[in-house]
Amino acid sequence: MRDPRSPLMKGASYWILAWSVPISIALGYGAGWWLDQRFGTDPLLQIIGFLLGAIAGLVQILQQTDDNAD
Amino acid sequence: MRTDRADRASRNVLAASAGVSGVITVGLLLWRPTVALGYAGGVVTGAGMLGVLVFILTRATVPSEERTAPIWLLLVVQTMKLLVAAAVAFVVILVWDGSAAGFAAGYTTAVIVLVVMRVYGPASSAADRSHSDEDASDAE
Repeated sequence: MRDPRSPLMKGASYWILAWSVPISIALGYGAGWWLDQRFGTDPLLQIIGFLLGAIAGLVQILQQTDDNAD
Repeated sequence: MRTDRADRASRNVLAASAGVSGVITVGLLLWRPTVALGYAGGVVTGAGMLGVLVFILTRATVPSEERTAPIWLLLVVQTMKLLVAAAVAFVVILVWDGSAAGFAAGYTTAVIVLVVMRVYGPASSAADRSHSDEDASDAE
């Protein structure tokens, strides 16, 4: 079936998909780093932030692939 | 025939982008070696991550009854890909002291190639061909 979206919209959706995991990880890691500086728990919260960011990115990709499949 | 042309175009895009990335890396190497290292690391990480992403997209975007792999397997592949990419980024940026900005530029290059290939490449042509086939059968 033909994808009714314009090339620009298709490109934008792939662009967002490709950046979702790196950006989620960067945000999670950054938040963990900031909290580590505040509470002196270095590097525990950085690791937790990294993992939470990675999970959030993966969930977003899976949700989008499921949306496309439906 | 059309698929062959699309495959060839896709290979040409890949070859051209690999060549351009190589030239950029050599140019950066002469200017700032750490930026070149970051850029090359970003291209390699991006190519690996986005290659698996495309693999998953082409498997997961089919109707569930036609799906050849269960969703948990896709999740495992994604997780492995992510761990490898994180390891490459860690080694390039923190261990080898490569430039983070160069790494982001390299990853961006890989993303641009992905977008061009997915929008104008074989997947798009295959969808158009499928639509043309539907039109032809409707006309009959």
